[in-house]
Amino acid sequence: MLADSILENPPAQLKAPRLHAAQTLKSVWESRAMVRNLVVRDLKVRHRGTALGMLWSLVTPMAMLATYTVVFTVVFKASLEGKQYPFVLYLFAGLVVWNLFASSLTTTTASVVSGSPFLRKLYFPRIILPIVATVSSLITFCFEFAVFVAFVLGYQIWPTITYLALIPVLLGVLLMAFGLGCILSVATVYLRDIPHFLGIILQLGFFGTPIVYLTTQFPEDGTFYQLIRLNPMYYVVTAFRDATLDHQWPQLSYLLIPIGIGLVLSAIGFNVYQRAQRRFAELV
Amino acid sequence: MTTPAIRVDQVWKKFRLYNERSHSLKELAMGRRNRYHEFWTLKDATFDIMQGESVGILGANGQGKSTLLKIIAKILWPEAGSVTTNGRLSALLELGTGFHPELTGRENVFLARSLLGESEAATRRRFDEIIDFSGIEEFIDVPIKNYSSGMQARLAFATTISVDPEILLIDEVLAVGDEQFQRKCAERIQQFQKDGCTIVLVSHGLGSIQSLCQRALWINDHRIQADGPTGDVVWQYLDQVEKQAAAAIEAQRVNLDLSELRVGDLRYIGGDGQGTYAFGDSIGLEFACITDSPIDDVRVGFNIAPMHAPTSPVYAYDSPESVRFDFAGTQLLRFETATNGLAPGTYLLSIGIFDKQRDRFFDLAPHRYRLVIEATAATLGESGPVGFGANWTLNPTSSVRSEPGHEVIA
Repeated sequence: MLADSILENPPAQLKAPRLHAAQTLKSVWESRAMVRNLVVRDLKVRHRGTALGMLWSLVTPMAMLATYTVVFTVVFKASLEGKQYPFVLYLFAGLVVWNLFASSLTTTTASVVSGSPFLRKLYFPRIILPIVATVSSLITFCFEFAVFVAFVLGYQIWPTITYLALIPVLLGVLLMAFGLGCILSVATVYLRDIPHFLGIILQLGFFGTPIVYLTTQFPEDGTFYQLIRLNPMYYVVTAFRDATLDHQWPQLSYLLIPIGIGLVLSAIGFNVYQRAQRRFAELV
Repeated sequence: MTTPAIRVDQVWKKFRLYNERSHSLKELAMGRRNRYHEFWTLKDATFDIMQGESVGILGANGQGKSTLLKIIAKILWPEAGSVTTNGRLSALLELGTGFHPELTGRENVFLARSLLGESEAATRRRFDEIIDFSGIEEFIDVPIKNYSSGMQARLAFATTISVDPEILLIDEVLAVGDEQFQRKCAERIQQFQKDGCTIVLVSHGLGSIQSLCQRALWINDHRIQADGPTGDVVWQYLDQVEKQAAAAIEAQRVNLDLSELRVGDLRYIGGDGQGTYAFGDSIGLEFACITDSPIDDVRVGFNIAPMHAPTSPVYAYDSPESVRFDFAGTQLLRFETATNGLAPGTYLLSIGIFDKQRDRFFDLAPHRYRLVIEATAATLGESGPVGFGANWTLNPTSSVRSEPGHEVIA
C-alpha cells in the first residue's frame, strides 16, 4: 500500500450500509423459528423449578382478582346497576385486558437490555426481541383469558358472536404496547431507569382506566369523561366488556381509536428501533 | 469470475470508550453528558474471500480482529463501507449462547441451534450425533443447571460446532482450555473444509492458523497490514512481535547499572560460524563480558526461545557456579554442548549477567542474537519444540502374518 493512500478517516462519500424496512421484515419472517423458540423458552423458564409450575400463571391473576373483589365489593360496596352480571366479572374483564397491556409493555421495554447476551454474540434481526416479548405476553394472556371465560361461564353467561370483536380489541392493545415498548426499549439502553418509571406510570394508568371502578358514577359531560377519553385503554376495556359481558358490538370508534394510536406508535417505534439497533451490540 | 463468499469493502468501525457511562437520571438531570472518546477500531478494511477458502486473522489483542469478525457476522454495524456475504453464515463466538440453566439438555440444544440459524429438522437429524459427541445421553432430559460445569461445556461445545453453514466465522476462544476440545475443534474445521465451507478463523495462537488456513490477514494498528499466503504473513507478524518484545525488554535496561559489567559480542563456534547449526550438531557460544574493574561472584545465564514465541524459552541455562573477573577489560565465557535437540527453526538468544544470589542484574541482552537449527534427514517426520532424530523400521522377520481363518489376538 502506498504511504499517501493511508487514510485516517473514511472518505466523506463513503456511507454506512442502509437497513431497509422491507429487508428487516423479510428477515423476521425467515427467523420465525427463532422467534418461536425464544417464546417457548420464555414461557418454559418462567415457572420452571417452582412447585406450582404453570399453575402460577393462573394463581397470580386469581389472587389479584380475589383481593380487588373483596376491597371493592365489601369495603367500597361497589355494585353494578342495571347489569346482568356481578361486579367481580366487571373487574376481571378489566384486569385481564389491562394485564395484557401492562405486561407486554413492561417486557417489551426490557427486551433489548435483557437480550444483551444474544445481541453481543449472535446475529439475528434485532426487532425480534420486542416481537418475542409481545408474543409471550399474548400467550400468557391466553391462559388468563381462558380462566376468565371459565369464570363467565360459571355465572351462566354464554359466549356470543360478539366475542369476535376481541380480535380488533387485542390488535389495538398489542400495537400500542409494541410501538411504545420499542421506543422505551431503545431509551432503556441509554437510561436504565426507564423500567422503574414505567412501573410507576403503569400504576397511575391502572387507576386512570376504569378497571376497579365504574364510569357510570360520573356525569356524562363532566371533567372525568373529558379526561378519561384521552386514555386509549379506556376504549379498550370498555370494548372488551361490551364484547364479553354485555353481548353487544362495541362502538366502531372504540375499536378504531386504539388501533389507530397503535399503528402510529408502532410506525414510530419501528423506525426508532431500526435506527438505534445498529449500536445495540456495543451498548448493552 | 465467481462471486466471493465474503466481500469486505472499505469498512470503518468506530468505538466509543466511555469514561463513565451515565445510565442514571440523576446524572442526566445534572447535565453531565456521557463523556467518551472515540477511536477507529478498524480502518479501511478491504478484501474478498472466495468460496471454500480458509482465512486466518491474526494480530495482537485489541487491534480489531474480533471486531472484524463481528462486522462480517452483522453483529456490529460499520460506520462506513459495506460487507456482502454470499451463503448461509454461522458465527461461533462463544460456547452455548442462549443456554438457559432451567432448560433440559435437549431443549437447550434445539434452542441454541436455532439461534445459530439451524432449522429444527436439521437439529433432529444431527441430534444423536451431538449427544454422542457430548457424552451425556442419560442426562439429556435433565435441566442443565444440574450438570457439572464440564458437562455443560461439553454439551455447549458439541452443539456449537454442530452447525452446518456455508460460511463459518469462528473465534478460537471457543476451544480455549481443554486439549480435547482443541483437537476436536481442529478436526471439525478440517471436516468443514472438506465440505467446501468458507472459513474465517480468528486466533490468538499461530498454530491453528498455520495448520488450517492457506491464507492469513494480519491486523495491526487497526488496519490490514498484510494479506497473503499464511507462511508469508506469519513471518511478517512474527518479525514485528519479536521486535516489540525485544524493545520492551530492552527498555528495562535503562534501569540497569551498566557501569560495572556489560554484555559484549557473541561468537558462534561450530556450525557455519554465523549462528546456523544442523540438528544434532554441537553448539558453541562464546560470550564477551566487559568489566570496568575486577569483580567477584558473577554468574551468566542465557535462554533460547523460538522466534514465534519469544517469551516462552524452550531452553535455559544458568552457570551453576559464580566466577571472578580479576581484571578490567573483556572476559570471554564459553559454553558448549555435545549435541542439540532443538527442533529445526529459528530461535532467539537472550543473555543475562547477574550476581551470585541472582537478585541483581548487571546486564540483560534480550533476543539480541539469533540461532538457526537446520533440518537434517534425522528430523524427517518430526514436529514440536524438540527433536529426537527418531528412527523407525519395519521388522519383517518378527512381524506375524495372520492366516486366513485365524484371528490374531493382540
